[in-house]
Amino acid sequence: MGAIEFDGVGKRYGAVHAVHDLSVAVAEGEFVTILGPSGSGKTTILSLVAGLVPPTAGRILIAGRDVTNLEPQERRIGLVFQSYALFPHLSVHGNVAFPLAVRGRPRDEIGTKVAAALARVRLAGLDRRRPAQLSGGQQQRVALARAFVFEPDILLLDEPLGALDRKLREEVQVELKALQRDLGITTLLVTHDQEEALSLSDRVIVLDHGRMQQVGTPDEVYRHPANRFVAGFLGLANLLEGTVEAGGVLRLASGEAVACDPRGRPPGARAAGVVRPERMRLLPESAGEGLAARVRQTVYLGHLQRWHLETADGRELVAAATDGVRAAAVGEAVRVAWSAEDVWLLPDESGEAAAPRPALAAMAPVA
Amino acid sequence: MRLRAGVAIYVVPLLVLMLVAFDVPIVLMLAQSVLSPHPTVAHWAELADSPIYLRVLGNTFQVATITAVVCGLIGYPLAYWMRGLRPGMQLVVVTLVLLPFWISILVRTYAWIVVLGNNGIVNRSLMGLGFTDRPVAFLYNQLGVTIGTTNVLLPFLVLPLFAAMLKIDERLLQAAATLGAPRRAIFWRVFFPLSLPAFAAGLVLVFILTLGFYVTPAILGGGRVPMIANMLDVLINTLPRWELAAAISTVLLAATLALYAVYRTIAARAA
Ligand SMILES: Nc1ncnc2c1ncn2[C@@H]1O[C@H](COP(=O)(O)OP(=O)(O)OP(=O)(O)O)[C@@H](O)[C@H]1O
Ligand SMILES: [Mg+2]
Repeated sequence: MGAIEFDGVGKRYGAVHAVHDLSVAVAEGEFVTILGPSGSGKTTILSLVAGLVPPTAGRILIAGRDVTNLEPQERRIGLVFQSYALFPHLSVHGNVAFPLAVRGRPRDEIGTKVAAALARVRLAGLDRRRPAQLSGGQQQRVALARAFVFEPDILLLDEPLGALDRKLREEVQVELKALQRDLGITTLLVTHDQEEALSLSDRVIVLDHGRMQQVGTPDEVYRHPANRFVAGFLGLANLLEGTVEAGGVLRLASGEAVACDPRGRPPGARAAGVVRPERMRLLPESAGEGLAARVRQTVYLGHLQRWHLETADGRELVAAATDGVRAAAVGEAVRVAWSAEDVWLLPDESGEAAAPRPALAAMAPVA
Repeated sequence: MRLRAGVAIYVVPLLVLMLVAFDVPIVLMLAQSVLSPHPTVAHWAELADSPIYLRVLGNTFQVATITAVVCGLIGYPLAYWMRGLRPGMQLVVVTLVLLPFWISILVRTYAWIVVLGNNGIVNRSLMGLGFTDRPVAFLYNQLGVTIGTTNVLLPFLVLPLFAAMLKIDERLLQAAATLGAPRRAIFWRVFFPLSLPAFAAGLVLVFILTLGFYVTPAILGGGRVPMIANMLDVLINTLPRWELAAAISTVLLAATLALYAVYRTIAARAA
């Protein structure tokens, strides 16, 4: 039994299918992110859990109880809106005290809890301010404090870090993770930032056009994507398409043989392999292994160096390595190599049913 | 600097015209209350001493207060109800609210006599249904005047209030719901406070506008509920006592300006 269970949940707005047949369970205390591009239905899923919109299909269970027809007030959920939705006419204190005040808690209890929550998000001393007098990052933290101060069962966060600059975002990510762990609260976070999803969550749900593409641990979705969309959305991916041959070889269209683990696919099956840029090794032209390529562009990222390469038959590849390794200049002829275990054959590719779907696509909760 | 000089060429003649044609005459007229026929405070003393003038002033403010309160009591629920309608229906209702503006205030005021008079449709219905055997006096008293002013001024409260209510972010109400607030609490703790500035501004506006009413009290009050404008008419056209009219106008202008300042402060907060 999960803390949140989606059972065939769907939501249409007229002709728009915002969420399509979603079945997945989130375990007690788990931190799950919903990752997807703009318009993929992320906010809609949170609204469904919060009870702000009714689903058009399926059921939603919270702690085993069917809440599909319950009002938002009855669901004990803390929701941080994409737009924060702070009450403009109330002070910071008034906003955070709101969920306690409407529950009729005694004054001194409210005072203590609000002070503790504000200290927790490092906003102590700002409680007299109005939301309009706060920076975007401070507003976001007020919204967060307001969402957890009444000790809800579930925390829903809709792109809560979107308004923050990179440095602050990374700081708040660490805080958020610590907060979630301390409170032990089941958390569903929405983001379109793949790094945020990978760094924060126990599991990631990848969404596209209202359909769940994959659910798995950050490691699984990054290294073993279920399809091209997931492979591409979670960072740069080199796609190698070809035919499986006996002896663990993927024969590319250009004729080169690429070592790989065919994972049970019969020889002759068409397959697409994914290799992450950082698994690509850049070798001198004279090396006896790998594909011949020419450097088209180099990108310096500080902690990383990236090379955009072009193979003899015009295919584009990307290799990356930590800063400080030998750089190859633009125009230089090189070879790229990788090991067989770094090639991940996409399970969804090709018409053959031979490839067993890997366990990572299973929809069972991890708990 | 060149630009400013260029603008001045267009603006200065208009400013001079305003000053000479409107502002100076008003000041001169108001000044009569202390300068006519020579510097004196006698007219102000007369104003303060004669109960009749103070009664009319008090009566005017009373009618204005009642009108504002009644407009508020009718207008707030009306605007709230309109906010919940489908957009198409909202357009229809806004048109209905605006409809009276298309009809001359004089015609509308006389229409009330037809409707509310002793032989009017309301009284005939009441008597026909046996609720009363003598006609109810709706007209030629404060009730009649208040009905007239409320009818004219209700749109001035409803439309800005409705616009302000439409601007209230639905997500704030949703946020309140997820935070556990029951419907009543959502209304009283979130919706009402957010609509309050526009509501208060509307009430002040109705109050100010009532102060200047002439036709409605003249016709629906039947001369028995004189308001400031009617008294000024008598002071200027019948008596004539320009100095007293000037003193009363000064009081009215001061009250209006003070209330307008309040209105601006509230309206600025509402925006
Ligand atoms: N109230 C609504 N009426 C009609 N269509 C809607 C409504 N709300 C959302 N949609 C549509 O549903 C789809 C999913 O919207 P949703 O807001 O869930 O996307 P999202 O993943 O949160 O996007 P973003 O990252 O931009 O916030 C979109 O195509 C959107 O246009
Ligand atoms: Mg969204």
